[in-house]
Amino acid sequence: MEYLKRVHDDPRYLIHLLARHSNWRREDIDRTLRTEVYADRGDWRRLGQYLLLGAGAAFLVSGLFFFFAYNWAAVSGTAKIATALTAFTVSAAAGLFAPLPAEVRRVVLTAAAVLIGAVVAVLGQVYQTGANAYDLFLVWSLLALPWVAALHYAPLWLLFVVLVNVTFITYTQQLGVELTYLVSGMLLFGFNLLAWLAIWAAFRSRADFDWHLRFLAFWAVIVATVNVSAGSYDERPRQLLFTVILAGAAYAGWVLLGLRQRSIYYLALVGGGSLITLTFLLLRWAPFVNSFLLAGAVLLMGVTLLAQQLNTLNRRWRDG
Amino acid sequence: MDDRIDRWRERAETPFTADREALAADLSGRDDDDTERSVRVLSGLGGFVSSLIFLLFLWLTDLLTQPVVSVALGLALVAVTIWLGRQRRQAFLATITVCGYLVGVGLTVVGLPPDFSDPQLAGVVLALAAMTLAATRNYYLVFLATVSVPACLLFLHVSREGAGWLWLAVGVTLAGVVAVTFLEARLIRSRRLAPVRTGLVTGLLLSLVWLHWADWIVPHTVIPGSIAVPFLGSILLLLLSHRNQHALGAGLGVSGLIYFTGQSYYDLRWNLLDKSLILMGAGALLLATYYLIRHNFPPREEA
Repeated sequence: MEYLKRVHDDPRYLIHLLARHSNWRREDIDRTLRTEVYADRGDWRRLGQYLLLGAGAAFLVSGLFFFFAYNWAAVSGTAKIATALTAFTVSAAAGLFAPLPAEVRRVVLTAAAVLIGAVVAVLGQVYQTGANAYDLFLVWSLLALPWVAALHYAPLWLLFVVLVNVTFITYTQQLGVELTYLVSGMLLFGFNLLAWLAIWAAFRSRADFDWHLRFLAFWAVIVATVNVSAGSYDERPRQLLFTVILAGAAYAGWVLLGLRQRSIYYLALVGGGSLITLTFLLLRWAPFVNSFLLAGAVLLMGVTLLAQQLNTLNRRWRDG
Repeated sequence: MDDRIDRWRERAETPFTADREALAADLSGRDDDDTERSVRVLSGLGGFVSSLIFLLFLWLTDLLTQPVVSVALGLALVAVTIWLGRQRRQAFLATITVCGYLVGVGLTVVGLPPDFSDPQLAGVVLALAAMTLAATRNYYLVFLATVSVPACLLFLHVSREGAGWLWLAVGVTLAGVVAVTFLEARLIRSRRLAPVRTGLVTGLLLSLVWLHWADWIVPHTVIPGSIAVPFLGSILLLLLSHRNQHALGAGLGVSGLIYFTGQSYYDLRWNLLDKSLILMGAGALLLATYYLIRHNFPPREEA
C-alpha cells in the first residue's frame, strides 16, 4: 500500500501506531515490545562491556592526571616522571605487543596517547619550564600525531581534534594577542574544516567515523556562526570577509554532500547556521527598534520554510 | 508492515483486530511522525531563539510595562498556540508553535503584578503547563509543558525557597523516567508519551546539572551527596533508556557521565589526591571486572 512507504522501518513506531488502532491487549503489547524493541541479553552485554572498558580506562587515566595535578610534595620529581613514563610505556607496550582483543587494543592505545599528555605535563611541572598552557597542548598534539596516523580509531581522532582546538584557543588567549578576534576565529574555523575534509577523504565509507564527521561539521558551523555574528559588531568587520568566503564554500560543499548522500543532517545544519547568522547581521545593521521584530520574523519564517522543504525532500527520497 | 501486524497477531495470546482504515488515516493525516530528528531540533531551536528576540523587542518597545496588555496578550498567544497545535500540519507549524508558546508564557509571567510572589509565578506557569498537557497532543507543546515542570521547581530553588525544591525536581523527573520506562505498554495509546519522555529525560539531566552547581547558583545550599547523585542519576538514566532502547536518553546519560567526571576535577571539597586514588581504584576495579567477564564468558564468535 502506498501509505506504508512513508513509515519508518521502526518496530516501536509501528507497535505504537497499531496499539492506537486496535484492541491489542496490554500484556501482548508488553511482550512484543520486549522481544522486538527492548534491549536483549546481547544488548545488555555490549553495554556492560563498553561501560566497563570505556569507563574503566577513562577513570584510570583521569585518576593518573589528577594524581600528577595534585603535585604531591612527598613524591620527588624523578619519581613523578618515572611514574608517568611507566604508565605510558606499560599501556603503549600492552597496546602494541600484548595479545589483546581488537577493541581492547584500540582503547589501550588511545589511553597511551592520552598519557603522553601526563608525561609532558609532569615534565613541565618538575622542571618549572614556565611554559604556557598552549605549549603543553601543542607538544601533546604533535606527539600524539603518529598514534593518530597509525590507529584509525574515531575516539582517538576526536581527541586529537579537541587537542588542536584547545592548543589554538589557549595560544590565542595567551600569546596570539596580535591576532584579532576575527582572524583567530577564521583560523579556528579553517582548521576544523581541514580536519573535516581530511577525515571525510580518508574514512567517509566507515560508519564509525560518521558521527565524528557530523560532530566536527556541527562544531565548525558553531565557530563560523559565532565568529560572523559576534564579529559583525567589531570595529573593522572587513576582516570577516575571508571567514564569510570560507564558510560560503564549506556550506555549499555540505549542501551538495547532503543532496548527494540524501542526508538531511547537513542540510539542516547549514540552513540553521545561515539563518541564525542572517538574524544577527540584521540585528547589527538595521538601526531601528523594529529590526528586532524583523529579525525574529525572518528567523521564524526562515526556519519554518526550511523545515518544510527538508521534510518534503526527505519524504521524496524515502518514497522514491 | 502488514506482514508484521499478521505476525504480531499470530503471537498474541488474545487475538486482536486492527482498524486498518483508521491506521491508514493516522499515517497519512499528520506530517510530524516522520520528521527527521535534526529537523525537529532545528524547528525547536528556531522557535526558541526567535521567541527570545520577540521578547527583547517587546521589552525595548516598553510593551511589557503595561501589565494588563502583557498578560492578556500572553494568555491569548498561549491559547492561539494551543489551537495551532491541534492542527494537522504539526511539522510545518512547529517553529511558530514553540515561539508562540514561549513568548505567551513569558509575557504572562512578566506582566503579572509585582506583588505576585515567586511561588505564585511558578504556580501560574505550572497551571499553563497542565492546561497545555490537557488540551493538546502536539509534540513540541507537550515537550515544553513537561520541561516547564522541573524548570519551575528549579526556579523555586533559585528564588531561595529552599533546596527541597531542587530535590523535588530531581525526584519528579527521575520518577517520571522510571514510569515511562516500565509503563510503556500501559501508556502506549497516548500520543503524548514520546514528547513527555523526551521532556522528562531532558528535565532530569537539567536538574542533575543544576544540582551539581547548586552551591554556586544559590550560595550556602547544602546538598549532601552532591558528587554522587549526579553520577548515579546519569547512570540510572543511561540504564533505563538502554532497557527501552531510547537513543536520546542513553546519549544524555553518557554525556552526563562524561561531564560530571570532568567537573569532579574542580570540586574543592575533596583534595585531588583522594579523588585521584578513588578514580584509579574505580577504574582498576571496572577493568578487572571486564577482564573477568571476558575471560569467563567469551563472546560467541571467539569462543
